[in-house]
Amino acid sequence: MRFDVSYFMQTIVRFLPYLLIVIKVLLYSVGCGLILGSLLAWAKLSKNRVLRGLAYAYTTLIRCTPAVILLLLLYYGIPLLLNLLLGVKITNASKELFLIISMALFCGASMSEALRAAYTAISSNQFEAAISVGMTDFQAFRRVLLPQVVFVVLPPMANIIVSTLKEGSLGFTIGFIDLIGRANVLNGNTLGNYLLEIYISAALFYWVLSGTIIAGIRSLERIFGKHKITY
Amino acid sequence: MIEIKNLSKSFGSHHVIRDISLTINDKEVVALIGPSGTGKTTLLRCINFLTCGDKGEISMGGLTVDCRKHSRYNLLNLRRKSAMVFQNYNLFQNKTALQNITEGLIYAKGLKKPEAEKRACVELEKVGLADRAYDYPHRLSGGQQQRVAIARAMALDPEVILFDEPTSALDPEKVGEVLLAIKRVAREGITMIIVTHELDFARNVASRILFMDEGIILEDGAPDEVFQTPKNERTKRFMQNYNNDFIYNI
Ligand SMILES: Nc1ncnc2c1ncn2[C@@H]1O[C@H](COP(=O)(O)OP(=O)(O)OP(=O)(O)O)[C@@H](O)[C@H]1O
Ligand SMILES: [Mg+2]
Repeated sequence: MRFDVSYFMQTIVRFLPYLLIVIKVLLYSVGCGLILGSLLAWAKLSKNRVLRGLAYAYTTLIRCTPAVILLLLLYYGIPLLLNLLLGVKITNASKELFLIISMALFCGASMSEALRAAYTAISSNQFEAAISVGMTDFQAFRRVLLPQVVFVVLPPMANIIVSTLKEGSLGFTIGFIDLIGRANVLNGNTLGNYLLEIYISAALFYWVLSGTIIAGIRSLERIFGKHKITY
Repeated sequence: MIEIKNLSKSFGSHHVIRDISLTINDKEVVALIGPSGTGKTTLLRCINFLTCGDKGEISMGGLTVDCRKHSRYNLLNLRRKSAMVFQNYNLFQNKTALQNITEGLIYAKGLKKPEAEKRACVELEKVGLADRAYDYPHRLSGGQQQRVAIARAMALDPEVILFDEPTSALDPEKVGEVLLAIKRVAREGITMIIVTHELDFARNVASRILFMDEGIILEDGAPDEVFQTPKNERTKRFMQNYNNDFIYNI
């Protein structure tokens, strides 16, 4: 077997438009995941036992479910359920939407754990000090707690975003055509003759994207961690 | 003037504050002393509602708040009339020394940033830390952090500053600088309640001593009175230990 460099380069160019799809799915998943994760973290820290119980139950259930299974269940199950219960027929279910929903459900579960841990790591002293100088609860949260929570939560956040990116590549299992979907098609069309060229160039996109995310979060860490720098 | 009326507080079945009533006049410097675990910290925290009492009333600068029924708005206003200096300094870790002071001025008192910074510099100067304005707390020593905390409290122009054992987390050689800063505050005529185990300091700086034991204020009087001729048996024993320690130290 030989490695066809010019085919490799061509594939990279051919994949470029699909990078946008990957980025779009990632942004939506992480965005929705962050909202869900914040709500869950808030529920886990609340005094209400039922709310807390539900949030923990959800997190545990999601963590114990393989991503592929969740994706397949949602994609095939929800239209079925809607049909049975409401008689609504979804024939043209958007694959992208289902991929984003299931990634966001995952992402939200891990983010809620990271946020909860970060919040607990910030001493309650900080909050008391803030309200003792006359800030409202919200000002205390916004000005004193949140910036410290963000700093603590950034490293686990990098992990979560990168794994969401990689799990997003499961879209092909429901026939979604993104980078991996396109690579599969290409590989089939060329009868596996260019397998290395195709998948290495696909991997390249994931490497660059992951690297960029990690570097981006590092620089955020520097911004939010000014107070931790020792000279 | 601060007025505490029939304040009680329990944690579970443990009565920590037992029906305390107390009036503190403007410009009084009150030292609150007593054995460990008798509710001194809890009393301070009830005064600015960091802990909510079970029953009773707190009045400060013309505002009265009932422990059992209070609005968020009244609570906020009451807190804005007092300031607290904590045992563990509790500076905002993500803010510089200067920002630690301006934060309350801007967000609670509504000052413009330049005014707030001007005021903060004045207060930092007073505690001898003008040159550390742009340092984050973790780069300051314990004594320096506590002096910033004192400046932060002073800048708010509160009716009263509550000190909870401001020197007990410090290295012995750093205690002096903080006590000195507190003395300066006292000289400015600000009402203060200081919980302390530094009895010499209490005697020296306070105009009034409260001795508290098991949730009750047993002794209330001028320093010489309380230290030399305590009325209560419990106080006598406490003072004796102190005097013995004193002799032992020499
Ligand atoms: N949040 C709380 N929950 C339960 N018990 C508490 C709480 N805070 C204080 N206590 C109890 O209340 C009692 C009084 O505590 P407090 O901290 O007011 O004492 P103190 O006089 O300040 O003591 P020290 O001189 O050691 O600081 C203690 O027995 C303590 O265990
Ligand atoms: Mg105490």
